Amino acid sequence: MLLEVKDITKSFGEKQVLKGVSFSAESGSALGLLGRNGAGKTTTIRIIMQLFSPNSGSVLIDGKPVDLKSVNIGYMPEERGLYPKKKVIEQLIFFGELRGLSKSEAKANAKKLLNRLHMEEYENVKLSTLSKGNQQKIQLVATLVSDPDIVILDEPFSGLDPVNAILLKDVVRELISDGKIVIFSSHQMNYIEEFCDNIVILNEGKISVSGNIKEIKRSYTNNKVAIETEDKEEALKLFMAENCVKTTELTDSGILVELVEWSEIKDIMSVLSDSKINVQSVSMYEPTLNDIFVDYTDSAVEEVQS
Amino acid sequence: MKQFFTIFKFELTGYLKNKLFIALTVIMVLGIAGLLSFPRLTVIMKDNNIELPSSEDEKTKICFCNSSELPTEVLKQAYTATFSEEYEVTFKDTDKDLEASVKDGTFDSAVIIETPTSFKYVVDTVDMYNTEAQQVSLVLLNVHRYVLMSEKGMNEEEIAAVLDSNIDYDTVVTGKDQTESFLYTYAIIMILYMVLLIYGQFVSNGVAAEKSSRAMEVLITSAKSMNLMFGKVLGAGFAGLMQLVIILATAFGFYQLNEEYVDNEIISSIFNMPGSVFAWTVLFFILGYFMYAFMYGAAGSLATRTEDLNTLVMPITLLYMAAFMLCIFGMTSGGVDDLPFKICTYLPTFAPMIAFVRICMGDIKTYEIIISIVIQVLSIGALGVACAKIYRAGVMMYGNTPKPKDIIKILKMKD
Repeated sequence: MLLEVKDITKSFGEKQVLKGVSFSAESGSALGLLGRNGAGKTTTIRIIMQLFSPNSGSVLIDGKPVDLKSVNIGYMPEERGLYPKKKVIEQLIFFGELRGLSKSEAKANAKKLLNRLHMEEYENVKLSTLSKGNQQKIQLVATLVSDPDIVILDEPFSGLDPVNAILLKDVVRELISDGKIVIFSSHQMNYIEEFCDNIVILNEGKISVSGNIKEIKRSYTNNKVAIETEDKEEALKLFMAENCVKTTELTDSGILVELVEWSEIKDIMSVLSDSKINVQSVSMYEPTLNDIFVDYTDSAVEEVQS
Repeated sequence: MKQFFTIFKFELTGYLKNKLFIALTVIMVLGIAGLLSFPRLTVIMKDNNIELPSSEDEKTKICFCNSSELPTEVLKQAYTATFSEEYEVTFKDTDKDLEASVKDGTFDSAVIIETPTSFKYVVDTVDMYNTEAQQVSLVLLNVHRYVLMSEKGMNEEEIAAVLDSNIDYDTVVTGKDQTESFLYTYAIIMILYMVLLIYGQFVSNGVAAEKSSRAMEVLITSAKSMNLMFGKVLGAGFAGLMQLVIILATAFGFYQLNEEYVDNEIISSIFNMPGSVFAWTVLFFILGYFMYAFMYGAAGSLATRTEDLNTLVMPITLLYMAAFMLCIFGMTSGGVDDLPFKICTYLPTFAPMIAFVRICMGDIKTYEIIISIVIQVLSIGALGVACAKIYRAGVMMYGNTPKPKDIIKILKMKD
């Protein structure tokens, strides 16, 4: 199954929230949808769920417009919420039935998932009596109870303790290996890096960057060299005077030197070997997803600086 | 359709399992049963010689004082004859301190006859059904006439013949007898008003609670808003109808059981209503309920917090109260077929109540009923669609309470 979002735009009144967003996701893979607050992630998700129709553009599944009767989508909203005063199993069955399951199917699925998440003992209690983390697990069960083809998880890890986070990671891995399309929306880059092959970074309604994470990282030419050394101050002084160096900065284990041109690495090496500085290692600096995110959503940087 | 039934069932069982709902029904059933069994229980207790506090030794004390030129003896005779059965009658020669003795409770009331045609009636508290003054005035009028006639030389028998003469009359009602239909119409309008208001509020509270608990986010992505809206409204409506039927059935059941013991004309006239009224009640309950429940649902969807709900619901409740007040006004003034009421028969938000009142008490034509019902059904359809639209947009709006122009904007939106 292939989910394609093609050039969608959406305005609410005067405000244009989406300005031409396109991406695609395939069965058995996870897509990370990143962006700052208000970048348009939730609107994009709601358009996929057909809550809003886009002003232009389309959402296709295997080349055809989405028909929610034949495609089952499970959505876990960032704002969690179910019925606090109702029994866990009752509402799980209700949500299963709403998405087209029979009562017995819904019950069987709910029980299976509750077992998987070690929640079977809470089947008959009212939701409001559960802890926040456990409520969140129930929310996940409600999302998955209809055995959806597409699973959209909005900040799934927030509020989970490390043990539950590992449990959820396992469940997500199972979803991916079961051939579901998983769309992740999160600010926690480490989880995105762990699961997602592809990412989409939204900024102010436009796509700043999208594609395979490894390729993005590779092509993210930052011309930075990480020099690991104990004589940080000395090294910093040494490179500040060099013409070929654009910026320098201190890190925990040494310094980071940004070059004007990557080819000038040779000069750096010769300067280093001429000096008396004790160097442990010189390596190309690998950007983290966090760096890429901050860099591409540049207005974020401006805001922090101002 | 399956989705609609899932929601309908979920909502309905939600109500039927709701402790408040159960308690409300049980209390009303017990209350009605108790009220209607009361006369019978009193009789049974009397039969078993259980002493009930009797009012025999607690006669009301009334004092008369004559300061007019009418003969005191005649007055004494006339008033004792009329009052002595239920009253302890005292006569005083002077009206001195009479007001004070009523105030301190020596007498319950006092009458000072000032002239043959006027008197002063002194009483500490007057309850609604006090007819003492009328009785006093009637007796005084007879005494006055008696004195006048004896002065003209008529003898006792002639005077008695004049004073005792009565006029018989028969009423032939060609339309509706409003004196008969008034009470049961009033009772039903009251019940309709209460039940519709309670269930309308249930719907708006339910929607607002789902929104504030954010269950809405999952709901709206799992089901069509049209199904959600109709499922909710019908679920609550069905629960309401069940409650209404249970209450009415209890009332009629217990009335049947206790009929021979109930000698209250008011209660009897309510229960002796024609069967067709029952059918009209159910029909107009359904129409009125949908008319208002959709609006209540839409209002609930616009509230971000439950505190906002009251403000949003207010205009609907006011509209509803206006219809109710108009009904009561029309019923008490007897003018239910006047032009304003004829017009309101065709105004959707007024029609469910006004049409019902006119059917029960007025002279409504069949074609008027049909047009009114058609208008109501059509506007319910339109309202349902419009409110589902507001609901769909409303449930995803958080923050400020929307203004009327925002609501119009929502209605103009294509989807």
